[in-house]
Amino acid sequence: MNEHHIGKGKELRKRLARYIPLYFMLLPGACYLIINNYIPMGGLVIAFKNYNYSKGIWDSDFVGLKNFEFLFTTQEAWTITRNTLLYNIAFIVVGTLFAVTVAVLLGELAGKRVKKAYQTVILIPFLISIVVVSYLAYGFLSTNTGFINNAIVKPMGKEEISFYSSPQYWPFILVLVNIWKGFGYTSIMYYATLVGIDQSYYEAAMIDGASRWQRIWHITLPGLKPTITIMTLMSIGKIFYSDFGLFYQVPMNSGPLIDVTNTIDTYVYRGLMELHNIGMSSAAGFYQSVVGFVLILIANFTVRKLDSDSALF
Amino acid sequence: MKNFILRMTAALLAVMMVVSVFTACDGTDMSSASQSGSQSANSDVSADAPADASAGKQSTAAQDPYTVRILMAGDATTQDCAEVSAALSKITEEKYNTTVEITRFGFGTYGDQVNLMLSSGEKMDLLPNLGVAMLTAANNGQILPLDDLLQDTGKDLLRMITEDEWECVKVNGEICAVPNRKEHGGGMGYIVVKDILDETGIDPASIKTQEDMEALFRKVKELYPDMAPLVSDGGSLNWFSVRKDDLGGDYGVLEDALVEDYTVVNWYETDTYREEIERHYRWAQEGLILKDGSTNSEQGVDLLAAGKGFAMQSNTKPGVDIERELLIGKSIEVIELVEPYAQTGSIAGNVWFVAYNSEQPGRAMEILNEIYADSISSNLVVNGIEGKHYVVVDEALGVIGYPEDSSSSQNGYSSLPWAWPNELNTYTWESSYPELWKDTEQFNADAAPSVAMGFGWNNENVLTEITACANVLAKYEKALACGELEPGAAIAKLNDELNSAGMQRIVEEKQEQLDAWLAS
Repeated sequence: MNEHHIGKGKELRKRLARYIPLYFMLLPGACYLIINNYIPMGGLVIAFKNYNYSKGIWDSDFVGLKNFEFLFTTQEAWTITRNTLLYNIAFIVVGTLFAVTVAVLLGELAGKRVKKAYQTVILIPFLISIVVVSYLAYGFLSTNTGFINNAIVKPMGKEEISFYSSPQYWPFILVLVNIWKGFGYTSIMYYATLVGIDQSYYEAAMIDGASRWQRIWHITLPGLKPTITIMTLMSIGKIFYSDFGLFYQVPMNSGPLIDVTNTIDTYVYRGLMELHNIGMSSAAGFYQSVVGFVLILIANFTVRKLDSDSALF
Repeated sequence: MKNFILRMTAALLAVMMVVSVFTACDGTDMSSASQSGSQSANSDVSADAPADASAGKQSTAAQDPYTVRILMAGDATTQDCAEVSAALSKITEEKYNTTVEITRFGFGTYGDQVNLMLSSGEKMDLLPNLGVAMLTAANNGQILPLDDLLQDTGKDLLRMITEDEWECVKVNGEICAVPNRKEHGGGMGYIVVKDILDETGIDPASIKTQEDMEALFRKVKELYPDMAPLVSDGGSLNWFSVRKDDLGGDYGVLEDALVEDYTVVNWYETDTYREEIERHYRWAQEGLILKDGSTNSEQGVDLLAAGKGFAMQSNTKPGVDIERELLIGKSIEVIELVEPYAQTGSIAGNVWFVAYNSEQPGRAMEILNEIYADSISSNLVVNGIEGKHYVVVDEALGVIGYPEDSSSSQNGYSSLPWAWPNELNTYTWESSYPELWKDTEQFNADAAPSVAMGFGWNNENVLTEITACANVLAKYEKALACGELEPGAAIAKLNDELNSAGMQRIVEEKQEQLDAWLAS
């Protein structure tokens, strides 16, 4: 009996001795997560309060759902939700398609130096600030001095297009700019998965006489499926968020474009810039994150049913 | 042995990582960059016993020590702020046993910094309303009501500021701010480049209406086809030749401030607005307004300085021509179309608050009182230290200039008279003119007050509607003002959307409050 106990004690201590350094390594990251991500969740109550600085968070008056009204009761509210959702869906679908294509193409390239050169070049737009990008876009789209009007439209004999007053072009322009900016980063992530696919599959396929396209379709794409699923699931979690710079700066905050480029984030910014109402802006953040959370749970559940390996959790 | 070294290194690294996390968590002071060196020398322990300031002067000098922290905008180095604080503290310590600490942030970051400090409850006592709107601050509990404090330690303020002026800074019947002593009111006009004006041969005195300006713009377009006669200022062309009273902001105005008609209207539905926008549209069609004016992000003064524009809109007050000349670098002329008048917002436009987390608000009020009433203290905070930041050029007229080896850009303590509580008892700069303050006082006396002067509005009940209307206006306002949209259709759409966003509710709420105020 005693031996058993002593044996167990030694086991435990040996395990602890081996794993304690690992737990110590976990500690800084865990601390950061708890302090930065979990403790502030208590602040969600601000969304339901009329925040008064003198009274502080806990003593401020509780106002229920009043802070959420401005997001739902107006005509704008439907437009901004529609815009945010549709743009994000377009970004996810078109973005993924494009990034996967580029990753596959990268994989098909021969020559290590060429691959590295391309990887570097396509990553550059990702690193450029969105404000700089908005001025690059201005260089193309400006009425008087823009490239498109001067080099393409006018030589064709047509009248110059005032892009910043014509909403119909902007869904395409914004999707284009977003893809251009982001595809370098995401395609490299897919490419990283791609190089991990076992080469012997390809060799076996070539021996069997599979064409290049068949190899891509039957080996590469299925190999990328887990990564695509995970990336898409995480994007769904952010589906009610938007890149403020993309929707505010790139259209140069032009009035006539607002119907087509207003998202929840820019709506809150434009509405509350003067009012500085902390309760209302917290309500908007609450709305975005809670809906995103629910959507990601549903999406993950669905994926788990279809293919349990690819689910996030 | 190798195994042992490896394991020790791993353990050491792990410990270092843990320790580094906790040192980083050590309460970082958001504005630690602005802590002046003199702070450590001063004791800023707040006294337990309340300062007995209502007793005579003798007892104020015997109060417990306290440091009043003043926040301000404008470029100034930490070192220079510390020196000015020390100089002012010498005076205030003798009188009230209170030291002063001035902290200044650049204009670009001031609004963000102050809002951050208010959220985190960092020590502060006095601050101006740049970036902190009075109505919001009062409703949010960011500032303290001042009625009792004024009775206690702000007696000079009560004496020097009139009852009418106090009316303008009340929220819910309580005084929330101290209005700055500066120009109270404004007119509307155009700033034009003088050389080009002379070239056209038109006499500025003959220009009285917008139609006259139109003729002038056409002439300029003839002479300089590549220059835009009228430019927008950062996208905005929102001054109109009208005399409306904004009734505290947030939409709903009185069309004519000097006519006894108390009907609150939606400015965007008025005929006046439609006429003005139609005029701007005509001008834009003729090429008299900057193309893509609404998305222009440059300041009007920069465009005029670069020769890209001839005129910009402006308010008018004594000294505005000199102010703009300094920014544009060319000789300019002011053409006034609307004579100056005053509304509540003219007085409530620049004010000073006592922060909600001031540990000793009575002492803060004492210092504010001192800066307002005493010209030596006022000069110190506005212009800095004599000999270092300025030299007296003419003692009799009270004119100052930069010291020999310095200039505007090298000055470590930038001078912003209009932003401090009282600019009228300070020196005038030689780049301006000596009678500026006298002219300002005259201007204040002459400016016709609006019939709704003193009415303060509270927007608590219509925040949702204001938010929605702000978004609708973001779509149309700038583009309409710059003449980029066809007015007939656009104004109709604008008002449709404003009405569905709840504009009527705002107008009704304001009318209710205005009627109640008139009845009392």
